[in-house]
Amino acid sequence: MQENIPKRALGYAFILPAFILLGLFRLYPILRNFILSFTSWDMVTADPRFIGIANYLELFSDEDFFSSIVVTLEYAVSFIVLSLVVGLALSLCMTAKNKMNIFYRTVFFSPTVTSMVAMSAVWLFIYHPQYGSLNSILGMLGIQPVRWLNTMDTALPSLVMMNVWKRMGFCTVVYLGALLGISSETVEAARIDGANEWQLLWHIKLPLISPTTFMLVILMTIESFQVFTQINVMTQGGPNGSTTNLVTYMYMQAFDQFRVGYGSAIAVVLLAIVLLIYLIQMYFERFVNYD
Amino acid sequence: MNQLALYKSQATKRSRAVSTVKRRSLRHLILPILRHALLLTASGIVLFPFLWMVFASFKPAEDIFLDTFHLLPTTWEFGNYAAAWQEAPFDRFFINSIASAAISVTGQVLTCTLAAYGFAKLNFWGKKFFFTLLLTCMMIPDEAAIIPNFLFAKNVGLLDTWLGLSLTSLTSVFGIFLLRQTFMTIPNDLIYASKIDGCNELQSFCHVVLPCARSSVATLALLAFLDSWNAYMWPMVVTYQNTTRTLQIGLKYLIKPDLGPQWPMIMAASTFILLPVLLLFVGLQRYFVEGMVKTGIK
Repeated sequence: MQENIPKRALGYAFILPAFILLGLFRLYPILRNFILSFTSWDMVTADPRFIGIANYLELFSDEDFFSSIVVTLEYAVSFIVLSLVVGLALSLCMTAKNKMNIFYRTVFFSPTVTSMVAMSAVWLFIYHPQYGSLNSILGMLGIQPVRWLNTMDTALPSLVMMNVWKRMGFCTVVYLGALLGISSETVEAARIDGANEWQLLWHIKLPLISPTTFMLVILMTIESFQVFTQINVMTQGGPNGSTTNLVTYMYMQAFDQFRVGYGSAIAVVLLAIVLLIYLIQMYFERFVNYD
Repeated sequence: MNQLALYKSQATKRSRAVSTVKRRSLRHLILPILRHALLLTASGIVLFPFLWMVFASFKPAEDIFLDTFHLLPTTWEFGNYAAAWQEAPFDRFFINSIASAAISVTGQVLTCTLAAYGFAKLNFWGKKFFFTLLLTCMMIPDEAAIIPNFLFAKNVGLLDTWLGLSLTSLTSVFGIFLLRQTFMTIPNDLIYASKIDGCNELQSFCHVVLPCARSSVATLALLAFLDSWNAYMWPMVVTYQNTTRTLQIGLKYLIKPDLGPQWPMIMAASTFILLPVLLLFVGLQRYFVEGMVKTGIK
């Protein structure tokens, strides 16, 4: 039916522009990163100097590096759990099709499209220990002021809270799509069999939307490993490294300290962790219900 | 005996149904109230930072030092916007943001539509392999490639240029997936018909396939614009001078650790950076939501 020979060449022509760019800015950098991670270079002197696995040896005795991995994981787990739970709770309340729910959906989704820098500025002001609105609102309830972004215990949770505020609307909308896709016959059948709302949620709805949960977990994992902007604007990784995640640590090493080789080694570890988590999640895909 | 069992079971079913109706009517009264209370509270929390930003941008400097909570300004100070605009070369930042976004959007629309058509409608050797390669690219975080990409931009002299700003976002894996989905829904017969009428592959792509996928292409353009407008790490790394910085980077350099009376000015700057995107969102909400959800789900 289709003449194959001319089509072959044509197909390549169509995908070529995209693949040149992807090769140049996605795939080749991974290779170059790997090579750079075996060198020492400050970008000023002529060429990177080959130093073998010295960067990796240094990484394994670098406390700041391990602390940045812990920060990254803490951030990821709390951010993913909170955004998914809040997103699911909100979407469960919004399944009826009416004007009010369209309004809610617009409101919840709006932070998703905003710029992270501008919202970081706003939240920096909200969290401000002296002039911020959060402390003055809590003050009206008789709660002592909290130095949100300035203590080691509260800085990371404060950043996570802001990120949940920004992304929970996305989870809500995605979950809403999944919940509306559940056939009403299934739900009615369960009701007739005497299932209450809780049983309905636990035994019918949650299993049916598990592919959505799975997809959201993967998406949010990748996202939380890339977090940089809000940290760079709001805390610069402080206080005392308590919000320095892997990406921030890599940035500091490569672009502030001009240690390109060491930064590249961190980037290699970052990529390895992301791929590992992805593989683990793929393993768990077998427990997901795709009908 | 059997008959009796049947009647009994019917009776229990009926009584159960009656009690369900009673319980439901109670539920119908309380649940919606709880539901709306929850949703309204959540809306309040979500909207608060926006309201705080906008109202604070009209506050006079001395309002910042008030001890108690004030959402509204005591007197309305409209000069903060002019002050913010003059604090840094924001006109320049605006032009840079728009120019680099325009390059990204053009690049993504061109490369993604072509590649998506290749994957959706053409057969070629190794198609599966290239598709897997595409999936792999999606797994690579931009941040893991930023050092080599920076070195590349430096070597070819693209630091502090518009093209440099959009260099890494000239194509998008998500964009290819999004358009591939749409193109696959276009019937092959339509393409064959255009070929019988004498179109070559490129002509049927431009005159038949693209017009059918207008709304998806618009979604892609919108998302590309949004990504570029909000981009931070890459523009931060490839610009050194104020004349080539984007709005986001310009705003970042205004935020200093010891800000006090300058807060209203910062809020004014944040407002005019957010405004174009929020207006676009309100006007084109459908594309935003569908696009983001679809690219998320693939």
